[in-house]
Formats: sequence, C-alpha cells, structure tokens
Amino acid sequence: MTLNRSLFLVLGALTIAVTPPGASAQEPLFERDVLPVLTKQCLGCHGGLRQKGGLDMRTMALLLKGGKHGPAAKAGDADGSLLWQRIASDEMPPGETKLSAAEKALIKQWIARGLATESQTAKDDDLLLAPGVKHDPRVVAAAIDKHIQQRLAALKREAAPRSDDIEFLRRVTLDLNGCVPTGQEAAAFLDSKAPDKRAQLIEKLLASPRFGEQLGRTWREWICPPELPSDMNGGAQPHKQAFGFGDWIGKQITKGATWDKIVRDVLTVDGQIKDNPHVIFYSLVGEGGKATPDGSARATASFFLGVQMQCAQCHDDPYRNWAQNEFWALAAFFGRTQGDFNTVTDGKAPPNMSKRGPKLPIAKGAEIVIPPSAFKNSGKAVQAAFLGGKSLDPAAEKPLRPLLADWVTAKDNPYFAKAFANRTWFYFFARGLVNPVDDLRELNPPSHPGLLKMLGNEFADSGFDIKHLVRSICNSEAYQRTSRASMKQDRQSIAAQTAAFGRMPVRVMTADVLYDSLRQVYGDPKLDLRADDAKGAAAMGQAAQIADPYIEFLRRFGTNEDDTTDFTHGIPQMLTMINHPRLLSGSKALDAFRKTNPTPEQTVEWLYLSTLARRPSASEREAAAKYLANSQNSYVGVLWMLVNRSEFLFVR
Amino acid sequence: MAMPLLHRRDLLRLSAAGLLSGVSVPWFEALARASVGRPRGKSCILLWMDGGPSQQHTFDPKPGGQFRAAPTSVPGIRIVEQLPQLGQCMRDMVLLRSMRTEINDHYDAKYLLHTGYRRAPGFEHPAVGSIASHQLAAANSDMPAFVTIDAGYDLRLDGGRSYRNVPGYLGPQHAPLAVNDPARGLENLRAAGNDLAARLELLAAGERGFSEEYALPNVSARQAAFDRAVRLMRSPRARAFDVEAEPARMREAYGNHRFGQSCLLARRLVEAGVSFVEVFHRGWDDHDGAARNMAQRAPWLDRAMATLIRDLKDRGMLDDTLIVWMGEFGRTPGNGDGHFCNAWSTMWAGGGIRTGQVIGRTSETGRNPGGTIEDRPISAVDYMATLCLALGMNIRQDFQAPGQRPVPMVDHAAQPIRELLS
Amino acid sequence: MIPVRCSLVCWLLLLTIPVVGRGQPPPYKPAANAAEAIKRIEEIGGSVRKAALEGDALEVDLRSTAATDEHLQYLLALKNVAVVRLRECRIGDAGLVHLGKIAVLKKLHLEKTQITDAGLKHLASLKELEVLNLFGCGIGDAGLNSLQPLPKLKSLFVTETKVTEAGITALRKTKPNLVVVPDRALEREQAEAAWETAKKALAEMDVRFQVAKKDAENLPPRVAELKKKMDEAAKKLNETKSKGGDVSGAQAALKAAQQQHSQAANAAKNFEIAQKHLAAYRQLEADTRSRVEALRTK
Repeated sequence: MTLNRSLFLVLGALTIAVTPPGASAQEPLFERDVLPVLTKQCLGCHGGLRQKGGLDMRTMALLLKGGKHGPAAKAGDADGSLLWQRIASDEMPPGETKLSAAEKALIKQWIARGLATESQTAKDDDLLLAPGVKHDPRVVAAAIDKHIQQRLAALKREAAPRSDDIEFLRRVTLDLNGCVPTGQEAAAFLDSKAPDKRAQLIEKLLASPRFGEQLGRTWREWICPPELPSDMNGGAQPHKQAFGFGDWIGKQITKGATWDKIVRDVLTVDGQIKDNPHVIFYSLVGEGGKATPDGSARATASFFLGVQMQCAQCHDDPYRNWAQNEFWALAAFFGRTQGDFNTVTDGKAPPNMSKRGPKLPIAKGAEIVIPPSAFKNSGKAVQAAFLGGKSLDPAAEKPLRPLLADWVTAKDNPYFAKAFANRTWFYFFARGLVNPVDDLRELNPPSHPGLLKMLGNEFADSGFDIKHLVRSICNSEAYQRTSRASMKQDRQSIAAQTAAFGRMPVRVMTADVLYDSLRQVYGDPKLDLRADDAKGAAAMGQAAQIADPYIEFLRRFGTNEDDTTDFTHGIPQMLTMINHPRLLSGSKALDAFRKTNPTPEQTVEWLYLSTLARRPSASEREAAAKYLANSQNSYVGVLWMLVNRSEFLFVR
Repeated sequence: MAMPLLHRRDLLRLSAAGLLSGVSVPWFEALARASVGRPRGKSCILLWMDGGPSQQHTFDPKPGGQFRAAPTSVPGIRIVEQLPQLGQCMRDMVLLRSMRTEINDHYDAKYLLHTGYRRAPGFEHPAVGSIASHQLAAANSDMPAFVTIDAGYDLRLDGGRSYRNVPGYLGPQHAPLAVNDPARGLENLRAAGNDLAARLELLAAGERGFSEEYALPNVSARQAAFDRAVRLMRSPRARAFDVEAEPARMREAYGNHRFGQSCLLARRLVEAGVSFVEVFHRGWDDHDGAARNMAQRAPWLDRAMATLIRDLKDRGMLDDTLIVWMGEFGRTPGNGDGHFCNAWSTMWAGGGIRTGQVIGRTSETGRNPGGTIEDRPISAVDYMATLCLALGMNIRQDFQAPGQRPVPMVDHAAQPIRELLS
Repeated sequence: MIPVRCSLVCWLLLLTIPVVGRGQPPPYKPAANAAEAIKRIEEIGGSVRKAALEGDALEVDLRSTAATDEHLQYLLALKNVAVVRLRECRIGDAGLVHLGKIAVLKKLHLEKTQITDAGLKHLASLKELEVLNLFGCGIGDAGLNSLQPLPKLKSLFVTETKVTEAGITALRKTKPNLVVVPDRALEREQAEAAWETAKKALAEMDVRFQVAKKDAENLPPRVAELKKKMDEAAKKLNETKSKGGDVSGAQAALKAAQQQHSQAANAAKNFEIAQKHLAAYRQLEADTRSRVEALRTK
C-alpha cells in the first residue's frame, strides 16, 4: 500500500541529498522534518509504549521536559543537547541502524536554529473567508485558489496550466458520477460553446443520483475495505450488507441529507437491517461479525473525527499523544451496544467478547473495563468522555450514543467538519491536506493550515452541505488544472508541484468505476469477467472463493485506497483485460449505435468518445481504418484496444 | 535498514526498457541504477494441508498409536508405515517434531503460519510467498515469482476459511498468481481472437503517445505490467503452466490425484524460475478421528511427495528447492480428532539444508504420548525465521509499512533452528 | 540513456512468430566491461545476481533464454562467476570452450542443452567445479571420462542421458566421494525397502479386514441379544448403586457389554470402511511394487 509513498521517499531522499527537503531553503521544522526521523529511530523506546530513561519524545513539550538525565534539547545549543550528543556519537539508537549523515545534519541544524516548529510558523495563517456564514461557491473556489497560490509562491513554484476540456470532462464525470461519459455526453460537452459550460456540467453531475451513489460507495469502500486476511471479520466481510450500506449513504445524499444528519443516523441507529441498512456499520467495524466497543470507537475516530486511535487501544500510542484512557473513554459510549449483521440494539451488557477474554463487566452506565486483550491496564474501569473533554457521570443511565452523536456533529466540534473536508479533498486530489487522512493532530499539521480551517468552517457554516463543499472544490482552478507531465519536465518539480496542489495527479479508476465504465461501453449490466470455470467451481463447493461477477470483479481489480494514484494491477488483471473472451465478444451499446447507420469513421469516433471522452486524432483514425480493413473482429477489436489503453484506466 | 524500494525500482527499470512504451525515460535511470541484484536464494514449494494434518498419523507416530511406525532409509528415524516411499526419501528430509505455535483457531493460525505475525485488524502482513517474491525473484523475469495452486479437497470441505495470500505493504507485484486447477493451468493465458498482434500494434501507437504526454510513474508501471503479461503469454517458460506438456510417464509417476498433478505443476514452475509455489489441499480437519481419513490419503500423498523429492533430485534441483509440508497446526495425540498447536510436526525436504535428521522431540510415554515437547520447541517465529534463512534471505531487515512504521521481516525474538542450516 | 531492451518493432515481430519460439536474440557484441556485460546478458533475457548473501560471487542465469554459444563470452567480462545456469539454452560444445575459461566456476547447469561428449573436455580446466548438471543432455560414458581431471567435483547429475552404470562406476573409481544422480543401486534398494513396508502394512490391514469381514457376517444377527445383555448390565449397575455396594465391577461389565453391542451394531459400517482401507493399502502396495519392477527392468 505504500508504493507511491515509498517512491515519494526515494524522490525525497534524492532531494535531501542535494537540497534541504520540500520548501528548499527553509529551515527544518519539528513536525515536518524532525518528527519523522524520531518516529523511525527513537519513539519505539521513547514514546507512548516505553519511556526508557524516563524520556518520551512524542511532542515538543515532552522533549523539553526530558527524562531522568534532563531535557533532551536546548534551543540553539546542539553540543549542549543530549539528543545531539547521543546521536552524534552513535550511542543512540542502540541497534545496528544508526541515523544517516543527512538525518544527523538535519537534527543538528534544527537544534542550532532554535527548535522551530511548524505550529509556530503557521499560527497566523489568514483564513481569507470570515467564519460564521456560508459563502457563494465561486467565492469559496476563489479562496481555495488563493490559499494554494500563496503556498506555491512561498515554495517558489508555478502552477500547472488549466486542463483542456477533454481532461476536465472525463475527470469530473468519473469523480462525480463514477463512470465515463457516454459518447453523446462527451460530444455535447466538447461541442458546447457556453462560457460557463464547466460550471454547468458540475451542476448537472451533482444533480444526478449517480453523484450520491458514487460518494456512497466510496465511503463504503473506506469503511468496508475488500476482504483481507487481517480484516475484522476474518476474511468474511458481509459484502451484500456493505453494498446496502453504500447504497443507503448514496440515497441520503441524493435526498439532500447533510453530513451531520447522516453521521447522526449511523451513530444512533437501532433496529433491523431490513429497515435500516446502516445497521451493518457496527458489525463491519467490529470483530467476527459482531459490534465491539473498541471497533466502534476506532471507526468513529477515524471516519468521522479524522483521528487515528487504533494504537491507543492496547497502550498509550507510541507515536501520537493519544492516551489509552482517551480511547476507552470513547469506546465507553458503545459499551452497551450489541450488534450483528442484522440488528443493533442498546442493551444492559456489552457484547460478548468471550473469544478474546472473559465477558466484560460494566459497572454501570457510562463505564467500560479495559479487556484482557489490551496488554496494558487491562481490568481498569474507564468512564465515557468526549475526546479532550470531561468524563460523563458514570451513573447516567441515559442512552449514550445520542450524546456522542450530539457532540460529534456539533458545529463547534474541533474535528468533525475538518475530517470530512480533508477526506473530500483527498478524494479529488489523491492527497489530503493532512496525511494520513485520519491523522488530524497538532503534531501532524496540514500542508495548508489556513485552507483546511477555511474549508472546515465553510462546511460547518453551510450546515454540513456536502454538495456545497464539492461544488466549491470542483469549481476551483486547483481542481481544473492539467495532470499532463511531459518527459521534458523535471521530475522533482512535478512531484513537488503535485504535492502542493499546483497540478492534478493522475489516479487509477477504482474497481467500482472501472466496472461501471466497462458495463456502459459494452452495454452489458451483468458483464462477467470471471474465469470460464467459475460456475463449475462454485458448484464444487468453492462458493466462498468464487462469487458473483461483480464481487469477483471488485476482488480482482481492487485498488489502493490509501493512495489512489498507485497502480496496483498485476499479471492476472492484465491477462483478464487482454484475453478474456467477453471483451472481444461484442457490445450492445455499439450495436445500438450501429443501428443509426453511421459511417465507419463515425463509428470509430463514437468508440473514442465513449471510452476516452475525446475524438480520435488523425493518425488514430488512420490506424483504426487500417486495422478495420484487415480484421475480422472489426469494431469490437477497436473497442478492445480502447479499454486496454492506459488512457482508459487512468483518471487524468 | 533495508530500503523497501527495490521492487519499485525494479518495476521502473522494467518500464525504462518498456516494450509497450517504446521510449526510454531518462529520469528512471537515476532510480534504476542498481548494482547486481540480491541473490536468488532457493525456491520453495509449500505443501499446505489446510485444516491441520495429524502428526501421529504421518511423521511422529507413537507406540500404541493408531498407525504403526516403520523404519526409514535413515537408521533410527521412523515414520508411519502408510508412507513407505516417503520413508525411503528420509535422507533428503528433515522432520520438525516440536512445533509449538499457540493458536488453535484455524483462521488465526493460518495467518500466523503464513506471515509470522498474529492477525491484527487493520494491518496487513505480507505472506511468506510475497516476501520471497520481494526478496528472491529476478527483477526482469517474465515468470511470476509467486504462484498458488489449488489442489482441491477430498472427503469434505472443512477446516474453515482459506487464508488468502496478500503482499500487504510489499506491493501488488508480489501478490500470487493463482492457478485454480492444475489441469487447466493459468486462466486467460491464451489469446482470445486470432488477431492479437494486429490489436497490440493498434494499441502500442496510442500508448506511446500517452506515455510521452503523461510521463508519470504509475503510467509507466501500468505499461510495464502490460508488457509483463504479454511477455508471459509469449514466453516459452509460460509452458510451465501446462502439465499436459509433461511426458505421460511423469504425470503417471506423480499420480492421478489432483494433489500429485499440483506437485508436478509446482516442479515445472520452479524449473521455469518461479521462486515460491504454494500448493494447498483442503479438508484436513479430521474431527471424527484422523486414522480413517489418513489411510485413504496415504497412497496419493506418499506417491506425490516421494515422486516430487526424487524428481527434483534427478534434475539436480533439490538442493535449490526447499519443500515444506505442513498445516496450520497438528492434531490431538491419539486419534487426532481435535486441533493441537502444542506439539506438532512439519516436514522439510531438499533446499540444501541438513537433511536426514529430526529436530525436536515429543514425549513417547506417559498418559498422553506425544502431548508434550521434550526438546527444542519451535515457535511460529522460529519457524518463519528458519524458513527465510533457508531460502537465503537476510532476516535482519525491516520493511517500511504505512505510516513510516518499520516492521521486521521476521520478529526479532525469533531463534532460527541453526542445526538445520548448513 | 538506457537502450530500449527490445524495440517495439522487434517485439511485434516476436508476436508474429507462430511457434513457441524465442525469437532472434540480439547478436553478440563484445562487452568492454562488467557493466556492459550485465546489460547484454539482460538484453537476452538473463540475469546476473549475487550467488549468496555473503561474499561477492556471482550467479548468471540464462535459463530458457535465446542465449547462444557466442553470448557466453559475456561471462568472461565478469569477475567471480561462481554459478552459471544454462538450462534449455541453445548451447553446444562451442559454448563450453568459453565456460572452460571461468576458472572460479563452482556450479554449472547445462540441462537439456546440445552439448556432446566431445565438448566436455573443455571443462577439464574448471579446477573449482563442484556441481555439474547434465540432465537431459546427449552425453554418454565417453563424456564422463573427460570429467576425471575435475578435482573438486562433488555432485554430478546425468539423469536422462546415455550414461550407463558402468560409466558411473568407472568415474567413481577415481572419485570415491562423488555423488552421482541417478544412483540406480540405491534407488532399487530404497524402492524394495518401501515395498517391504507397504507389504507389511497391507498384511496388517488384511488381518483387520478379515476380522471386520467376519464381524459383518456374524455379529449383526446378534445385535438384539447383545442389546439385551447391555440393558441387563445397566440394570445390574443401577441395583448395585442403590444398594450402595462397590460399582466398579458392574461398571466394567456394562462398558464391555456396550462395546460388544456397538461393535455388532456398526459391523456393516466398519466392514465398508475396512474395504476402503484395504483398497488404499493395496494401492500403496501396488505403487511401491510397480516402482521396484520398473527399476529392475531398467
């Protein structure tokens, strides 16, 4: 899952060797530059899990407090700082791997220059838009662009040019409706002379039910990743119910429900799955098909609040300053929630956790006991508390989930609006303003602090209006830039430009989008790309391994949801696309078009428009004509070629 | 610390010389300039008996047990008489009789014995086959590095859900290529339609244009993957997937059972350069006692495995190929009707390790013969470390997992079985 | 610039070759240095890697590639080539001339190549050679003779060649520690031992089968009678219990009666299982016997 991330590291490493990282001539900052080194080299022994020598290095404050030998660093005095002494002499870290020369130089420089932190430097970022009111989306879009422009200017980087109509049409249609435009739609947009045709197209796509559907299944995929050996349900994800959940989110969005309403419904759901498809949320994030307090807390934190608490489950987070108490205080809200694939109710007792230890006693009300599976503090009772807030009355017998929902979805919740804005930004740009997208915290600052704050405010002030946020982003110049990267351009500057949102990334279609696009161009709602013996295998009792065409497609063509630019297909996917007989055996959509008696040139043009959302170039027309003259597969051979093009698979 | 980048770099290197893109991209060169690659190490054929095979009905028989022990070609080592041919391969085999792996639940045990780590929600550890692919495979091979073969099941399908091999953070190019039926080989390997060359020509022109306009790593990665797939289709080595190409007497020697044919396919694949093959046969969860089922399995198991060992030896491949036979745990001493992770056996063969010996010992007498380990308990991480070492990997290295989290290839607490390694 | 390994055009040419062919390899061009040699080797589809984690010995792998005799000259530009794999290459005696110059070579794999007895004499200079694999090559006893000068040869593979047992015996006279595969005598010995074990297992199974058969014939009519006995034993146990006497004797009697009953009740089923088992053990015996016979006729 870290391919591109690691590539980034290579590029990063190359950069460091030549110039200081990122913003070239800038000084090293704690969060951006120093903390990654400490995380890699030091926090294993001097973090939340262990504090050897009494030293915890997770935050600036803790570093200054130091351990039993005194403060770890003195501003401006590297030689007098324990941190520098220990790493300079290679006394630390104790293992075989020492800090590299570049890492050492970085830390020395950082101490010598006075221990600068990013939070200090970013404090007085201008929001550009006053909080408290909802603005016109065009105004928000302009503010987005100004934020990005400022950052680019500080980095001394240019923005990439505006996308052409073809890039924009295909990108925005895939992003907002989850499918390539039809030939007709493509031709209509490309031929339109309206000056505001892009804004018009955005409105049209937002108004389509496919917008909700696409966002719904995107959230489904985030919440219920494809089955993996480690997944919470032991490799047996309840696909059908998860699809129902995605559909439900989609329908809510189409109905105009705001994000706070949707999240409130999810957090407080009660009853049967047949009436409430979102019941499945709890068992999806639980374990072994059951809701668990810790699973619910983890998911609420990650998806709705944008914070990672999974490490704090068993011990204080070694790398982040979340305490184990804080995690279980959140889990306590779900202490009485019982759920499986069919129902969710609040009972008196917690769900049965016998698989991982004895049944959990709950003293009463809003208290939970840390289970034996946690390797620290098991057996300790923790009272429900909002993140960073005070504890609830342990005797309260009131339903707890509504209380939590009130707090989560409150307009002034410090995480809720930002978390959604950040994830939505990630959806479009393949990179959050904060990364990872669920790691909002002071020491992991956003690349554009003002922009994130502004988007959070705007989202909250619009009453958590999803379409308002999406409309604002899609109308920005930032979203409408090209993703072209010619071979003549310098690779490092392209990477830096993309990271600063001065250029759009090229992403890989998700399995859902690819499947819908193939179904559309082949005019076959049940497109089946399974191996031809799949049915026989199912009859032989291997049903668990070979499912219906859609699920098998998702399994095969699943992408990296952490990095949507990551190309993850291998030989099996390629062989399917190249050799599966279905992709050469005709398209009903093509047949329908052929009924209008088009010329061969028009047919080739239609095929290009239906797949790549553009007309063929002169040389492409010529090549197609030459192929058609000699081929028996004729037009479907051209269609095969088009769906096998990189240009088809990538969202450019 | 090992950079987790070689795979990516290798991929880029492939792209740089891409067939489809037909252009050379200079900036890859800086990344691609690797010195000579890691050693090839050994290949591995993992024979996975899904559900947990009984040690007392195979490699660790006990006096008074349901199956009698018979002498083998190594004096002093005895295995059940139901595996006579395998017994005569004992000089090329090692029995590990003291596995102690702490998990009696099928699925979690399968995860543990495939990854060396306990299952933890939200974090994907790479399967050992993917690690082998990452560490041992040649960068530019036209063969996949990791292949799984479904050898089906006899009797009935139990033993819980199968483990699915995933590469985790090592990246998708280390995912296994799955053969669902050894007789059918690799699906979609043959071209549909008869004008593939013409279609590829039509495709190539467009691809070249796109890669010039979008000279990005993911675009190159896709074109490289496409090239690899086409090269595989065209490669003479891809014939390795076709067991029909094997002489009839050889197919006969491995036995008609699907497991035997899977072993033969595994041998063909290793011969063609595949680093890791996992053959899995399901339905070994003998809750009504192991004796009955084992007696029926013995003929095909004995024949297939003995033939595999002899065939590899005949071809001079045995020293370079490690065979591992195991399940996720053993079965309760006596009749073998329950799961048993406290004292169970795996069998290793070939691989240039010190064969002809037994590692570890379980109790022979007492109330419950075979119920306890008397010598050299082998934990799951010990097993994993030994396996990786035997395959020629450097186990003292960390991978970079998401969130800049270093994860050791094998848990540092592991104590490899040194007496096995030469 | 990295030269394109195989141009698009050549790739398309490759596609049009109808047979499972390897296409035309790039022609041999002298390599000025090691880096260039590695590049050339990769161009013909091979790879150069370290032979082991430790040390700087190299392994050159050209299995199933289009490499020809003259391509092997690339190997001479490399230092420390310890392992060479040429399985299924178009390599003949001319190639062995080049290989004979790699003085440090330890392992040489020539499976299914076109080398002949005449060519093997070129390997006489390989003073470090430990492993030589000639599987499936058209060589015979005459060729083995040329291997006499190899001082360190430890393993030799001559399966599927024309080499005879006599040839092997002759070679081993000067090399008593040499392991030669195949070793027919050892194989026969082992196959016979396996057969013996299988025969014993079958005999044992046959005894059990006969018992099961007898049970199946005799016991079912007695099921009612044994049931009655079992009920009586149970009754007696209850009586003993209510009297407060020692129950151990009655318990044992009941257990025995139960066993007899279940043996009778399940006799048909057990017989069926025994039949299946007997078939499996017969299979085992037949498998081992046929191998012995095959080895005897060879």
